[in-house]
Amino acid sequence: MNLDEICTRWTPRLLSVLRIIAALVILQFGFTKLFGFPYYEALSNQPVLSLYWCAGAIETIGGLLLLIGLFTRAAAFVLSGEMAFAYFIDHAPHSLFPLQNEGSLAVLFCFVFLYIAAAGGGPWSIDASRPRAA
Amino acid sequence: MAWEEKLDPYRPQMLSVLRIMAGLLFLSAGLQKWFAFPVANPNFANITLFSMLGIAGVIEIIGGALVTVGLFTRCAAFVMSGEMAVAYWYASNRPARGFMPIQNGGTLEVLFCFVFLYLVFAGSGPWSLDALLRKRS
Repeated sequence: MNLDEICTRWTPRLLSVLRIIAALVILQFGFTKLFGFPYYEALSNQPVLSLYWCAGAIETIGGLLLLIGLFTRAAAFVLSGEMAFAYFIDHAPHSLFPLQNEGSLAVLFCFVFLYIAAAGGGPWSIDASRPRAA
Repeated sequence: MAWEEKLDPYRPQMLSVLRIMAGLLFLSAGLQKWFAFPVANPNFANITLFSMLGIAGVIEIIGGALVTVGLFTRCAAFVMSGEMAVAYWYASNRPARGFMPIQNGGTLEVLFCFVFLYLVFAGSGPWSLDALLRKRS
């Protein structure tokens, strides 16, 4: 088996791996805002229904859906939009460059989720195993 | 046809978009280390070539440029993915700051690592020099 075949066979699986990792990372941000776990000084303990709390709710629900791969594309699309929103209200006003406004993570998340919205969740997901809608 | 499947035709192009954005972000991290561009960071003022930071900066500039234009994407992404894995575990004081990436400041490294790992397998997509070269040969 040559390298091209290995890559062709493993690309969909690696898409699932990328999806699961991205979901776990975004879940941290959701959990810390909603539940204060893992505790992170700058984000934890937001007032209920504040802007950050709502962001945390989107990240928690979207992250859980992405993690198991259920309604992957819809969840990823919403999360991608949320990350764009976060970048422009929280990071962009400080500087033009992601290096200085510390928005690199938001940019990368935004485009990873946008890609997952277009590509789906890969084979290791609930979407892949549930019966398809006619 | 489910509405989601209407997105499927754009999948290769979106792969190229993701590749270009990840490449540009990575490139800027390297340029900042070596050339204080686009913004200077005092931590990198006295950078030397044969140090962890110096070599990281070289990998970020060369790898970031290659991935941005999509040339030798798989090889470049493999090296960059490895660099990010090292960066995550090596960065000073990280274990002391906490186990979770959000606490120890390693979230960006984790995400970069897996994005580039995906690019190793997925390749560079249609909007890339790799695709141009394939078409010509």
